[in-house]
Amino acid sequence: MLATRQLQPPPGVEADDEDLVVRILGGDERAFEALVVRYQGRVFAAVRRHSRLEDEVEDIVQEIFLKVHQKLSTFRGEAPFQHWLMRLAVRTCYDFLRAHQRNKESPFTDLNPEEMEWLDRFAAAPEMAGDHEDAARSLVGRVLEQLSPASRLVITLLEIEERSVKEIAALTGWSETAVKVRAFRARREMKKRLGRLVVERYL
Amino acid sequence: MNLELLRQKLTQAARAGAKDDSVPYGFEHRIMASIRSHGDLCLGVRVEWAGGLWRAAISCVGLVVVLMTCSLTFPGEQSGVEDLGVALENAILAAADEALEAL
Repeated sequence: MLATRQLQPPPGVEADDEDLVVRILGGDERAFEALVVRYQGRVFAAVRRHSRLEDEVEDIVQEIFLKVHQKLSTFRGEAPFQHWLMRLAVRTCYDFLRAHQRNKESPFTDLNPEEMEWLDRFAAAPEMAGDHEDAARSLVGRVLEQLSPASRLVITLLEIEERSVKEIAALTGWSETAVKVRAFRARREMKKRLGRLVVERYL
Repeated sequence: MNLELLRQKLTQAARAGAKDDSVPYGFEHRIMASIRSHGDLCLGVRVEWAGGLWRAAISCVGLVVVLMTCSLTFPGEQSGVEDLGVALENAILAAADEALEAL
């Protein structure tokens, strides 16, 4: 009986976003819980694009919802709540990436056998290396980790999530020109890192 | 090796990866607990500041009352406004007076 009660969603899960926001601003904590339940999956999916470590992902998601709670009074309802939330999520991810920049000079010496095999197959015949493989995904994760926060963010949004320049500008607060310039630099930086990977592996 | 092709292949691989929208069990409870503790912390800081400010305000009011009582009970020598005006004038013109005397 107790377990059944715990699995039930909080009241208000069916209410629309604007109603929930009004209730939260009126001090209703259960309404905020309903909002978290509604959006936490989408926020987790978005944050996992920016970080590979699950502990880090949980910390970022927690910070995002804390910010939502603090800044909810600034939500004017001109755009859907989800857009406001995603903008906050992307900016929090970017702040987190900047605050936790890892050693970019770390070498690619700890590639696992699957990653090495994928790379060998690509070196032998690029068409033989599939792009639906875990090894390739893991490899691109390693490369992205070595990029600067801005490059990583723009590659993730532009090339992996396939968002438009206009969308990225709205999400990040950068101008469209800045997004284009950063995208150009990010591709160049990624190629440079891949070049280093190839040198370390084959020379 | 063609690095641009490698970059494109890897980006395609990342794009092809399924979206993982799984959520740790009971994560919403963790969020709610952190919001409550954060709220308690903010409230604690506000209460601490408010207490300090009230104590300072009460001390100031007490000091004002004591000084008013003293000034009403023990009125000191009254110095007239004219005396102050003359003193100010003497101080300002002291340099000019000295110059005149030297001549």
